[in-house]
Amino acid sequence: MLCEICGQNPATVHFVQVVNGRKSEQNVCEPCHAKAGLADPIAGSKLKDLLGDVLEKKGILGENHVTLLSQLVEALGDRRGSKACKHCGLTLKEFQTRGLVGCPNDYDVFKVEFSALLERLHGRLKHAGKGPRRRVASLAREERLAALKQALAEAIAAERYEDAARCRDELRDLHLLHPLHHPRSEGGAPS
Amino acid sequence: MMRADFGGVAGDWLAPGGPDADVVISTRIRLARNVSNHKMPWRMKADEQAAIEAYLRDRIQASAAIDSSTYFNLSTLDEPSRLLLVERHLVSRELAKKEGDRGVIFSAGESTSVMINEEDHLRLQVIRGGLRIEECWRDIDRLDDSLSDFIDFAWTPELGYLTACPTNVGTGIRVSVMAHLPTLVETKQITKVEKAAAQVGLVIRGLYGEGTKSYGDLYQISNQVTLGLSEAAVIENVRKFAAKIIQWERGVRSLLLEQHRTSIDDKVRRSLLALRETNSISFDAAMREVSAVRLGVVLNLLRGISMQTINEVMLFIQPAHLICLRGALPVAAERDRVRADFIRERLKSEDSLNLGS
Repeated sequence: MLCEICGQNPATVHFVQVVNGRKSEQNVCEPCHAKAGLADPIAGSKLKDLLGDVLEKKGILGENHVTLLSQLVEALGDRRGSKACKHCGLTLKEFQTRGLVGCPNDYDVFKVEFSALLERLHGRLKHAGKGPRRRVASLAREERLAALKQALAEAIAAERYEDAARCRDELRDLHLLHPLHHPRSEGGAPS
Repeated sequence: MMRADFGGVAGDWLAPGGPDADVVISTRIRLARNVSNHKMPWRMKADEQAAIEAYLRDRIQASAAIDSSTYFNLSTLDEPSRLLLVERHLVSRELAKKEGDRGVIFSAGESTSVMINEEDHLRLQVIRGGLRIEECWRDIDRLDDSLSDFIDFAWTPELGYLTACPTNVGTGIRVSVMAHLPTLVETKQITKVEKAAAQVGLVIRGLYGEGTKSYGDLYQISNQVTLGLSEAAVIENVRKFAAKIIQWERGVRSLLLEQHRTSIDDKVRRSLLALRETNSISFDAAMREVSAVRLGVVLNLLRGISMQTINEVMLFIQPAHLICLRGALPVAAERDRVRADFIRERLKSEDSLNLGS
């Protein structure tokens, strides 16, 4: 079937709208759908209503955010991929219905898709706050170790042996410290 | 039923005397946390939910991070009891309404509570009377750190805490200030407040009722963005805006007092009288009078009624509290009578305390 708008590309997006009880169907290609979507964001679309509902009920999103999110979700919806998270089985379609991820790994599985979403929601993409204290300390230690190893190699190469000795000493001290590991949890959380 | 546990005692945070208590009723901070490598609550089957709930309860108690704590599994409580927890701000309406194993653990004074299996595995909350943002943060930060030693939280350096909803990713923090804004409502300036809030990435919402209408003129100011800002930055943002609103409300209060003292005085006296004399009153009507009386107390127009009393009245006239105070009530009309009875009694006992002085 060819796109009803341009008549050239194959129609890969099948769009059903119910407005005032009357059903209308459109079969279009992705570029035309995207263009049409921008012109008339999702009036009457089930996706917007569902997602908008979910988020508005929380009372935490103003109208602007809801519209934005809906537009982004529409953009996500263009992908016909059947990618699913190995751990929880979530697909993008399910996310669109619910507005929630199925498990923490989804942020990695759908990294690309969620990047746009997160940036529009928060205006930023990189975490700037705190973390679980043992994890943070452990990460800091790893970074220091790596930096020291690098410095040591450079010092040796440049024949700055005093600097090298200092690096080596600090490395030894760090290695001697009790290695930080996972939180105390006898047996771990149930799977 | 939990009647015995709660009696007529209110949580610590309702006690008056907090900073800026003339405008700010309470400050609340919540943090969303999830367990690494586990499905979100909505994605779990009933047995998985039960398992994670039991596990988290165990870990929280093992951490001893909450003082003299009380625990409830909401699936074992009847509806009025669950509603009671909602009215005391210990759990959200969502937790009360949903199905499956879900719990709450809270401290003796009810200022700290942790919900299990709401939208996220854990929702930590600290609530205090008046404007006490930094104090709330200190307490919840400590709680979060303690729990992180016992529970492996889902967290990455890039995205921070991984939450069920992308709107909470990063810090997972929501800072809220509950304010009483009767004169801003009276002068129809709430829409202006909304716009001002939106400009700094905050949102303001009526506590009860739909949209901007709020019973009791109570409003909640909260942050929206959780990613890319430090917790300190979010807090600072809310604090600055709250300070502005407080000043704004106070300004309109003095202006109205200056220009319309007689009619305000009259209004608050009539409201107090209505509450003293009523024998049947609906929740929204009661909240209207309570709001006026609270303003009267703050402006020193009313003697013989304390802030503590009016705060308690505000809490206990909510539907589920009435049920617990007097026994199960099937009909709304009866509830209105019981509400009125309670208010009269509460105000009378205040008077008897004042007769001595």
